[in-house]
Amino acid sequence: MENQSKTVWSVGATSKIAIEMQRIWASQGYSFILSSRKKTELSDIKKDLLVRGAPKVDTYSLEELTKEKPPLKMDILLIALGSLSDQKTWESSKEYRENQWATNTTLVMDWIEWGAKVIEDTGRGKICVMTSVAADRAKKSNYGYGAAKAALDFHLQGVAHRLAALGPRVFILKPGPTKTPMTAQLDQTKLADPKKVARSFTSAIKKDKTITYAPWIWKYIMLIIKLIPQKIWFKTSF
Amino acid sequence: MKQMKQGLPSWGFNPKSYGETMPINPKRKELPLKTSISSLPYGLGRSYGDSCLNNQNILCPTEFLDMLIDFDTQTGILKAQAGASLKDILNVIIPKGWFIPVSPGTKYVTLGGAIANDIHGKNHLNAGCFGNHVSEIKITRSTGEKLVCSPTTNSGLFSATVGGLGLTGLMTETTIKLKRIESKNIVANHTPFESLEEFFAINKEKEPTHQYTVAWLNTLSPNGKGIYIAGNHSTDNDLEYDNSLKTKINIPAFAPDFLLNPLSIKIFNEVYYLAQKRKRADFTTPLDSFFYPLDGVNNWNKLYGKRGFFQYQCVLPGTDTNSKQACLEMLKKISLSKQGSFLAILKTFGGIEPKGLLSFPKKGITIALDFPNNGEKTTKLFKSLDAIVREAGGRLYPAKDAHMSPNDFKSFYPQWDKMLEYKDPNISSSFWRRVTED
Repeated sequence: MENQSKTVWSVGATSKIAIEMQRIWASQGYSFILSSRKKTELSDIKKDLLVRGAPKVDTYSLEELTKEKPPLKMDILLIALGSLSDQKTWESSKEYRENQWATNTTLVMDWIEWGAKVIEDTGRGKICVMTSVAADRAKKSNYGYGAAKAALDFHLQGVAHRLAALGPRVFILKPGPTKTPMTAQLDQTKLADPKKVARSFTSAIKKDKTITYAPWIWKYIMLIIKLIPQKIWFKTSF
Repeated sequence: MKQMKQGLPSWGFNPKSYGETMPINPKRKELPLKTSISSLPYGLGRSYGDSCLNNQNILCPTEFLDMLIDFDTQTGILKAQAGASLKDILNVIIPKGWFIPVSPGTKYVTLGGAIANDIHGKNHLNAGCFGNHVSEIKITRSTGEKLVCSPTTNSGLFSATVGGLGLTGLMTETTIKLKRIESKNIVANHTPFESLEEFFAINKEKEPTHQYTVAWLNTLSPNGKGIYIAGNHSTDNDLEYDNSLKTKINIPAFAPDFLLNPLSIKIFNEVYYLAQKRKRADFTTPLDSFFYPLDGVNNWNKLYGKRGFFQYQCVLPGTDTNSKQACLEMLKKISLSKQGSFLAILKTFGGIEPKGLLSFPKKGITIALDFPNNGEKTTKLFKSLDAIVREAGGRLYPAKDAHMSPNDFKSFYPQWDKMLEYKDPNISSSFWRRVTED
């Protein structure tokens, strides 16, 4: 049993933080099922994980994998799907809101539900979802993105309750602003190192820590932010 | 002119540089095509001066282009994207019994950076430069044109790219031949010396039997005082290696400017010399301590304060009396100026020809020193050191440079104009514009 490699199902495997988490797991001998919008985007990532020690890496487009799931064990389900919504477009376009919600929330919930069923059926597996610190308190600069992620937080807490008898199975991963292609247009000096964020997350999952902020300081930043009275919060220009 | 924001820095924080930062997208793998403004690929910013800067233009970090592509554990051939760091690569190759053929003094260097500066290491006598171990480079030009070059295909482009400071295009992938090792440990020994003559005597004795040799120099002594460090890979079959754990110390902010001053540096140098002097016999040390001691202090360059610092690295050709004399003259000038620092290296280069048009090493003596930025005093000192280098027929290293004159550059690197044939018209750097007066 020791030699049978564990498998990570990664949905949204091209996310930079997901890439770094996958690399850590590859060096520990995990195999992978990777999926993203375009299958072609996964070929570089596949080669990288194989060099780093993954025994087996299979790639699928999101559409393929959502329809047809290969009968392979799920030890970790990592969901890093999502794009940083443009706030102004969110406010003005119903179609944009619907599209963003579909990829950032609805599709993710579909996968969480699949994961929950697998865990109930097999008694094995962990659901690990990347939400965001943006989901902890709404602010005018990004509440569209925040809402999508906040819905996930709530959903995950419900699933955690549902699976409680089986021990810790649901892991909420909350990155603060991190240096990734998604944040290329933000001020680069204030962004966290994705390798460090990934290390915090993989370590938390291993230790069964069910909610993790990375860098850790964001836990305390958000705690304080959540406590600020509304009158004062509304005066800020975040 | 529109006020630009502060750009990514170089390691010495000098000169200050402004402009846009546009990371290379890992899915598109191309430079931004803008005709009125130039871009420059940027690795991990360990070049000291302005060769990795592009003031008032665009810098393109390659951090997302860091995938490993293939690693043949039998032949030691590694193929990877050019943004992959040596730090990352070592974690994969060392446990399999391989090492990089040429190692710089820090792991925080990308493959692209290692090639663009044709870096050298402590084993130059046997191994030459990094470019001597590169078998292929894939380049994407700013127009989107994709090219492949090697020592035998498009060899002109290859020699312009090795040591070419990123000016020929965006390196996307590269293939290198690694070196077999039996252990992650190094068996090292230290020998103190109190004069340049003593250094050369020890060098003659140690070089034939040690793969890695370098001397730390106490720049506050005018005679050439320091510690000679020599090492070989151990044969103890210990290949367990993981450098992804946290570094021990972090310098979180710029230290006050007065922290590193002639007195504190003097004290450090004396204490360091006495501490290292004791280790005469062979001792075993982990690879990271031998090759990358400063990597254990995150952001050590901030110790110099906001004023930053400069590095001066030159090579004096040959090891005959003229060059030894020139070397001694330089050491005297530096010690007299009392501007030296605690980081100074003295080493001899071997005769293996480097591959690049702008490659720095030649057979002879190299000195590399850090100097706190003392404004006019530093400029004056550098000018006087340049005169010695010029007269001896030596040259300065672009990867470290922030001051060499256009005339000096052109005479140090007589093949510089061949670069014009291969340089991408939409790529430029602060260094290039400065030394070619573009």
